[in-house]
Amino acid sequence: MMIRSLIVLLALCASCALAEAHAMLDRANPAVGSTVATAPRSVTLSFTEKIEPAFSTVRVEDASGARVDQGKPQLERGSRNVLRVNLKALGPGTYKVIWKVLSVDTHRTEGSFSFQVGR
Amino acid sequence: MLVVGVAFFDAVVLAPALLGEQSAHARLRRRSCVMVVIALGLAIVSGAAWFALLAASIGDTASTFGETAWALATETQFGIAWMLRLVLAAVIAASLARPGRARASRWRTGLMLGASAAFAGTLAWSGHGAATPGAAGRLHTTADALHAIAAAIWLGGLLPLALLLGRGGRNGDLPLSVLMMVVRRFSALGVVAVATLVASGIINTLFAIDRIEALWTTDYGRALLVKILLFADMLIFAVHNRQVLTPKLAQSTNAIAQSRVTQRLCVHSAVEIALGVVIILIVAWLGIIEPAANQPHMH
Repeated sequence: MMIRSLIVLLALCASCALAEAHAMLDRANPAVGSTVATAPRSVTLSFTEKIEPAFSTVRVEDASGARVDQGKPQLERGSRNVLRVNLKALGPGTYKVIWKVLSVDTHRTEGSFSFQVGR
Repeated sequence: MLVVGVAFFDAVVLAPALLGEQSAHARLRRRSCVMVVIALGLAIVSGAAWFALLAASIGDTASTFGETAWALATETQFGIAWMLRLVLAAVIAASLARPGRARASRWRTGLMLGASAAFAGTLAWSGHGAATPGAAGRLHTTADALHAIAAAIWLGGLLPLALLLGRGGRNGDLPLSVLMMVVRRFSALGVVAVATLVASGIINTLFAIDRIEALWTTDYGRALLVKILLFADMLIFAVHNRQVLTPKLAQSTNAIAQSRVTQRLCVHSAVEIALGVVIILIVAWLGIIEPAANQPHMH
């Protein structure tokens, strides 16, 4: 009886994680795959879940692979799911955005997309 | 989970039933204390392991484990909830009744119940509901928290109930009046818990499943179906205990009949515990996979 109740006790103490999902990119500015006439000063990423900025990164690279983002990504004021990262002055060309985020429910997601400046 | 269940069982079911029985009371209350302490210890160990595993998996190559752990603890919602749960565990431990005293004061009992309910409910802060932005997120998180608390009270309380019925029935050292009161009070507590589970479960299902066919076309949906079926199974046993066995116990005229019914109740409760444990394992698995509503739709 004691052994059985001990086993049950141990099983019951297993932590019960609740249903969790992953943060996906909902919208971006500049939009995914778009061409913009003027060079943007920042990239804004809107996710489906709330994000932890302490463990989220955003890299923006030009066609040669050099980084053109500056500073750490920050949460947009008043929002828990929109991330903004500032950019250096951009010339015309194709740029790649590579994002890795940690959702508030501790799941990581990553992705990338491109946008074009000029012409 | 066990912490909450035993705490509530002790305060709501056992203590009132044992008001007259001083010697049995002291012995059983002491056993409740021991169960809570063991459960708290296991919760803290598993919580620490959860934290360490998470810190190990999200750190980048530039930071040390210590730096990652500190950032996790102080700069994320998960970390803040985790630290809060440590504090709650300390409060629970502090509010455990002194072993020598027969009755805990109202104040101490209230603190114990509140802290242990919060201990279960704060699990919701690392869940999907907590990650959903806006008012929908707040509703989902609240439903998650209530679901966790109700499940903990019912499933966690089944263990001390089964133990009590097993020992009390076999030795016959608890008078029928006490057994009846325990069974009736636990049943009443169970009704409230089940109602909460059903209501919060419906809300959570609506958030997680956006098309009805996802219930059988996705892994998540199928696991959820199994969970609901097991829950219905538990309910059948619980209803049988309440509607058939409890009246039988009340009507038992001699020690043998009383012992037989009590043993049946004990076995049924043990079956419910087993079903509940499987549900918990399914819930743990559901926690790692994507809810059906988030999976890309094929057009």
